[in-house]
Amino acid sequence: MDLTGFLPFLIYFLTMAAIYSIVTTGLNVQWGYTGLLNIGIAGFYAVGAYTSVYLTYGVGLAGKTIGLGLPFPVALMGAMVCAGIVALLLGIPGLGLEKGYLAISLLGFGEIVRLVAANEEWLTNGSMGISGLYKPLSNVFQGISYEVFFLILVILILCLFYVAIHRTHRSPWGRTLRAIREDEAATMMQGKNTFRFKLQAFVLGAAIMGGAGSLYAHYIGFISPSSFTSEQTFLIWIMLIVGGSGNDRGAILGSFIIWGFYVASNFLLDFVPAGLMARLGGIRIMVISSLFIFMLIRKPQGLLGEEKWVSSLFK
Amino acid sequence: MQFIVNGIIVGCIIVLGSTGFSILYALLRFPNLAYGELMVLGAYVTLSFNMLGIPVVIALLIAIPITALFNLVLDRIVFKKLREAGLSSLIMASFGVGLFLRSLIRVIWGTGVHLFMMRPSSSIELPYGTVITIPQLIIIGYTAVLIVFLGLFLKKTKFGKATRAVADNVSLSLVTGISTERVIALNLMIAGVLAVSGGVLLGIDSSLNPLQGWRLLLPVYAATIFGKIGSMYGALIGGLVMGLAQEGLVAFLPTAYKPGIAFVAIILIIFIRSKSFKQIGARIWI
Repeated sequence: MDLTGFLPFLIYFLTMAAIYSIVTTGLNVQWGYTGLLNIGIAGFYAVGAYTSVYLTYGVGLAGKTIGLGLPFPVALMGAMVCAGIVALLLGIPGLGLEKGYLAISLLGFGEIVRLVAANEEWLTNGSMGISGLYKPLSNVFQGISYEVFFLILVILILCLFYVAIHRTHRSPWGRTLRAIREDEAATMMQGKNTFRFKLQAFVLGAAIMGGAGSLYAHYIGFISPSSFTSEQTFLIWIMLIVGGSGNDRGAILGSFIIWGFYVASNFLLDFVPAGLMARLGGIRIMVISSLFIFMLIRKPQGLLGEEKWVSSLFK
Repeated sequence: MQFIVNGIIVGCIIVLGSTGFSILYALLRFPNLAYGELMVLGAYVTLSFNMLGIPVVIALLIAIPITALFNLVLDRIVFKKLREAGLSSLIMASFGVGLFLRSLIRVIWGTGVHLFMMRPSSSIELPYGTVITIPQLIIIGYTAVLIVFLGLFLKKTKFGKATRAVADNVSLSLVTGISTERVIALNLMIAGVLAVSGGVLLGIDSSLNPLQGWRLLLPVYAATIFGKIGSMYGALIGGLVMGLAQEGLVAFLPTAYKPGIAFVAIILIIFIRSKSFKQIGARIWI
């Protein structure tokens, strides 16, 4: 392989891994810390991506340009706010439910978002998707330097989220979340309004997922409903479970490992016979889901388990 | 009026699925998100025998023990090990198993649409311009027979009584000397039989493709909670209501939203009766 082709590929790999890390960080807030079983991640991710597109611009149905043409930072914020609002609306009735029902409701939410995106052509151009999305600062940077710029942007945002989330997790607020995860009734007895804490964590996590959706849309420059399937949701879950739920660094580590495996398996395409090529996608998912089940049974804490924290005064 | 006939046919398929799903939910206390894929996997196994030239009915009879055992093995490999790990792990594991099975189907049989090889059948004209085909009549008959047998089994036999006891209270049934794992094993196989039956009926009524299981899961789930988990009558009525709703509403909605109807139904059922959904009341009624 020649090096000129390798560098753009490496940048692509790192950028996507960082975007996935952001989503996984969002899931870590919801599941790792609070124990909320969100299997509608793709829905929040999609809400963020589409919101961001409408706030900037893209080419939709019949080649018509859609969107408000606002700058990228506004779109990123808008995507987070919008995903957060959706989470609020779902969380108010949903978070009081027993775990299984919350899970299935969110599964349903994710699927409805995808169905709407696939069928409301006037809004989303259906399965054809919206292309030619706004690329922030693309007039300043060209070619490979643009890719590097976007990678740095995504990593900066990841660092920002990481530091912010890591700090909140170590705050009294984060401790309350973990208490709710371990024993909600006991936390209630301590006088905490557990529903409010759960709602806050749910909305915060969803907003982060929405932000990642926005970054994804502007990075790839094209979105369609096929980017927001339950398989995507599953991918995020396995990233967190492998890395270690409840550990912020684990979320990022897991994202890089699983995305690495996902990308590496593409190279196998060069070596397998043509007949098997179409099936490789299926085999890849089979390997990943086996790994997921294996981890759940054998090592549910993940590679990096949850850290035990004591106050810095007692170290 | 054709939608009533179609709705009942689709309803029968959902009834078989939700009965099995409901038994497992009540006994093992978690929604098995891989159940839809199990239904379709059973149908694909039947299809493989069917493609060898064996008639569908006999192919189904061969596939029934295979699927039943497969469901048991699946439980032994995955879910049994997680029984103490809590609801969330079980739900996530079943999500993973579902995806595994869907990919397995894709790898073995490809992503295309498959049809069972059957003789061309005649149809019967009903009043109001509705039509019902012979296979559709067989679907209704088969479902009725299977459900009646299952009801009798749960109500009259010792194993049925034990099943209801385990669903009601595991530790209490252990104390009274019921071998809960044996009861669970038998019911896993029953659920496997119901799954493969539902899947094959679906294949007879329409066609098979790897995504069918995912699409089946939600109506099956909706039908189960419509009646209440573990209720056989509930699953029966819920399944028929879901079938009729899906076929009836298609008149007003774009066809593409068909799978969405089940989701909306689930959310409506949960939120309207949200009080009873704050915890699982596991029990098997007949």
